[in-house]
Amino acid sequence: MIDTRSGMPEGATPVRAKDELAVCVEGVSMVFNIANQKLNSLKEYFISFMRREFVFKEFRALEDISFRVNAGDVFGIIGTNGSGKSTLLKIIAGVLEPTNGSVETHGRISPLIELGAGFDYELTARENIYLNGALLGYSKSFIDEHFDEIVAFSEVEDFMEMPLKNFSSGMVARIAFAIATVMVPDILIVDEVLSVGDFAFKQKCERRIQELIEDHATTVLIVSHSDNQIEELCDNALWLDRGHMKMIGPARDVCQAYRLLGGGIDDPDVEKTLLDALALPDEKKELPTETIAMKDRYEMAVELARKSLGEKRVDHVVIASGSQFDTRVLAAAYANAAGAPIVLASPKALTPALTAFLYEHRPEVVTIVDRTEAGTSFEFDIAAQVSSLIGADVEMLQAESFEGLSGMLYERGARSGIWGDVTLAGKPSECIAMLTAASLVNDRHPFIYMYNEEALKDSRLYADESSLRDAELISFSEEDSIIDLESPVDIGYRYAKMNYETVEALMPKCDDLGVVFASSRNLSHAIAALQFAISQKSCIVLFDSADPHNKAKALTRFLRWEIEPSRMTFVGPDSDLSAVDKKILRKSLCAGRR
Amino acid sequence: MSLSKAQSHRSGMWFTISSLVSKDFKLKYRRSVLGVVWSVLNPLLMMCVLTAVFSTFFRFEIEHYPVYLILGTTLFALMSESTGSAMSSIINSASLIKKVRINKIVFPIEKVLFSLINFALSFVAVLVVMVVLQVGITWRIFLLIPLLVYVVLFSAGLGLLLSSLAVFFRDIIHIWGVVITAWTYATPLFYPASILPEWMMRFEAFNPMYHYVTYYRDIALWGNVPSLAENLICMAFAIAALAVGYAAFSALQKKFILYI
Repeated sequence: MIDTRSGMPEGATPVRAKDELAVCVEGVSMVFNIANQKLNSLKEYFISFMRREFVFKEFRALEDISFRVNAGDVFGIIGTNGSGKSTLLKIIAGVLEPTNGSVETHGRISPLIELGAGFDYELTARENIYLNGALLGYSKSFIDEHFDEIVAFSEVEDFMEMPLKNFSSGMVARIAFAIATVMVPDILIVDEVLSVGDFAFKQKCERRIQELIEDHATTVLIVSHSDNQIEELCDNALWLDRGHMKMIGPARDVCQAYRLLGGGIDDPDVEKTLLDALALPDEKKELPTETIAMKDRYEMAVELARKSLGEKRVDHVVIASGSQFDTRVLAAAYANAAGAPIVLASPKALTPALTAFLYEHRPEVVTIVDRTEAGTSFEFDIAAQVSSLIGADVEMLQAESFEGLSGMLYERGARSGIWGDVTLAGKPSECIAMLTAASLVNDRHPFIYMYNEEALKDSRLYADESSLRDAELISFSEEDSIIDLESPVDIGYRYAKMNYETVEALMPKCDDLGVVFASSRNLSHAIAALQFAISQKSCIVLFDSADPHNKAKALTRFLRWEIEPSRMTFVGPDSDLSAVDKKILRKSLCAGRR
Repeated sequence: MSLSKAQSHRSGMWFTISSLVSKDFKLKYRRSVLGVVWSVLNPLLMMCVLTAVFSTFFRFEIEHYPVYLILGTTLFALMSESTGSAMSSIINSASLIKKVRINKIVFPIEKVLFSLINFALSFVAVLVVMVVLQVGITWRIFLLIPLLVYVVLFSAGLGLLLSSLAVFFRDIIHIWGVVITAWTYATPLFYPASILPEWMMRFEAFNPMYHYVTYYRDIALWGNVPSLAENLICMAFAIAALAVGYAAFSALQKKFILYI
């Protein structure tokens, strides 16, 4: 057992030895009779009896649950909604009788299953304190003695004679919590009650629970669907999944697995893949790892530009319209070939981050890329503002369509002779594969958008043969349909798949490669990371952290990859890639070469 | 469980019951100008109405008819009120029973005791009527104590039975309203027992409320001391009801939580 708690404060003596048993649950099952419960009237009962329709539809809320909690332990029960957590707590609290099995508890139990059960809102606060205390089994003298303490804790001194119905729900919760914990229980049962009330109240409750744990060696059972809360507070934890014991052990391990599997999934293969990845040994050599996360995509773009430039000063900056997904992809390719950093502009105004960046570099030329399908995407005169800000020459590259814009950027680059040997051409929906390819081959290749080869032939690019190099038309996906950019699941799966296929096709050509991970649910970061990835000699790899199936598919692929990442960067906030996601990504990429 | 623990458990239960009784009491009279006076006034006013109705239309030849009437109706009300409120007590405490480990028997018992307090208040009205109509109050009034023990135990037994059945079949609540009305008319509360036909009188021998009401009138109005046999009959009804009610409640209470 891992003891994560801080040591006993001096002077406090534990009430009991730690290895004493406080709660022993053995083979507990709970079966609810769904059909039976609906028969609430004699008539229904009679009819179904006459028809011999006593078909009991059983719902097994808990199935063969066994565990032990030692005295003084803090034990967490975690699981998604409807997994049987609360039912289990009610059985331990003695409110519910299990269908099978037994529960043994040692000591006085104080259940915080729902705050304020038994309050009567017509009565005053004072009357309710006595009533609730009586219902919890306190004696009158005990309540008399601790009355002031309860009032002080709940901070409602001035409202004692007011009916409870005039109280805010937070005030009611405070009183209820104070009553429930004023008597030091041997076993405290907490069922997500801490989710009510304001921040100060929550902290106060948590302090009180800590006090009970540390000074009085109270055994605590906590139910939560917040794995962070469980990991923080508990020594050991049980993971319940649809009434079954999924995992039991040190809270940290259980919570990590819970987070990884997203609270339980149907597919045992997926589950096994993910848990196996978590169980992989840690990487042997120290792998340089970094996480880049900023408030929004605009700050992110500036941060990534700064990181890829390092100490270098530039005299040319490309600004792309931040609201346009495809414009950002095209502008990134152009900026990369032109050796200029790319940053994003908000359609509303120049962001502070962008202003600061422009001040820092004071470029002579600023190129603004904007697709003008329905007029310019900027609500302000960005050219005038940038030019008055730093006195730079502002060049506006604007076109109405994807094809028009890619043609315009191609021509602009060709005039300055910046393009490399390979031309990547594909549909806008394949932009992520093009981006991946760009990050891998690190060539100053143009991107050309088109819907089919005929369209390319018709375009003025094709007419001007001298300016168009041999286009290596890479078809990245076989499906013709355009990916629905609005659907995160679609993006999560299909963009990631294109991304992996591109990496797998081009990887053999590369050596000494780093990896930049970005969420496939939020492609903004992946697009913004192109230049950064190239500067770090890394390729962009997408990962769908929100769906366990996609995760498992990705991990299975990663384990086969032959690359040896020299460094690893995670682009995006923790909500994109959680700590445990990062851990399994590190493990599975490093394990691939063993 | 050690003895001292058991004792503290029992005293804890009484504190719980008394807290619930005081809650009901406070809620009943909150925001009414006359407050607790209503509990005295109500039986008096009811008596006036019933006296007016029955002495005008039926012309029963009963001496001290108002006293005859108020004794019967208040005692019957003790039974009907306590069984009626005990019946829904478990269902109405659902939120509490689902969340706190508590001895569920306190809820119906509390309702019966609360009705007893109401009876005590209406007894003041009874005394007023007796004084005004110059019916002598004798030492026999102390026999009210064993009578109340019988009636309370009887009502508690019925209340326990009804409260546990009502959890499973809510119909009981509707049926009981009809049963109480029928019972009211089947018991000689407004009319003299002498007008009952022969077969009805045979039936009254099995009507506990007939025995209890007669007992009450014996000691308060007619100046009789009920015989030992009468006491034993009253006690038997009470114990039988309590035994059945308690047995049903104990057998069913574990399942309550699944149905409320």
